[in-house]
Amino acid sequence: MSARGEAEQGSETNVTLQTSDDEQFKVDRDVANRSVLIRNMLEDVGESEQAIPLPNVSANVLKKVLEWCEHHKKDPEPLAEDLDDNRRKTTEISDWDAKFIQVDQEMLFEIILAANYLDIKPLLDVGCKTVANMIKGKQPEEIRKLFNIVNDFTPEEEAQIKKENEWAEDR
Amino acid sequence: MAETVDTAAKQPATSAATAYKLAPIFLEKEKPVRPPYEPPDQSWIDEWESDDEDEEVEKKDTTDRISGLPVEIIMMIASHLTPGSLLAFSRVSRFFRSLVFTQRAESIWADVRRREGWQDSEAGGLTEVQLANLLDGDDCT
Repeated sequence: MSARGEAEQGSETNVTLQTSDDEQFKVDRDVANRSVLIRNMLEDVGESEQAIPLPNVSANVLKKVLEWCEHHKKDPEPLAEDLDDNRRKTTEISDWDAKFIQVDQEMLFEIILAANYLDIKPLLDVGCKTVANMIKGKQPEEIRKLFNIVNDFTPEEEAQIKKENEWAEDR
Repeated sequence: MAETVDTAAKQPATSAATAYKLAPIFLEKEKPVRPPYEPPDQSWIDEWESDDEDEEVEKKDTTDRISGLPVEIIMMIASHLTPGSLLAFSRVSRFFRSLVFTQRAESIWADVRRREGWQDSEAGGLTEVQLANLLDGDDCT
């Protein structure tokens, strides 16, 4: 709790983030605080003019991630259990998030990886739910086509699996 | 192509004269002007290549990004599926199949089943993965 308090005190200051391709982004501290990784770094470093290096995130992805953080900067901090519970219960995505995540596959997976690295759980969830929604209701062959996955089952294995799964065609 | 033909046709005399100044003997003979170079018919290559491009434009992206994700993220994605689509997912590739039918996937099956409103007691003492395997038929035969 005290850590959260400190973060709020400093919320008027700006934070500079430096991407893997050496672009710098200046953002409000409460936007940057959506990332648990950055929040922890800021708490460790304290007030600093120095840019925070994010060697795993490129500028075009960070721009997109910051757009999400900006929109969600006022979101109340959910309790850990709530978050987990929500995640379990629903695969729904808010309208804004659904629109936000309408990007090509490359960007979608980049956002997921960045959210994972930056430790932004709600954004990671939006990404994972979106991919899950793309998979839902599809046959294996359709899933392969969608994600360019190579079918490495032997024809015999595949015939066997298909036979065994006939009852389970997606509902 | 058309341009080359044009220039050649307009200035055959000059080009012939300059080209053969040192060998006038050729001027006596009937026009030794070489026809402009006509490349062999390679339209089939163009067609072939442009076909390729078309396909690329259509597909654009042929990278399998999902299989390259960290395992925990794939598991997170899988936990949002329905039982039916989780089984379909397991039939996509050996890698996914190995992920979905492991001890680690236990909690995923539990998540998926609970969200569908299936009772845990249906498992009848079996673990989730055992049950899934049973449903999948491996133990039925």
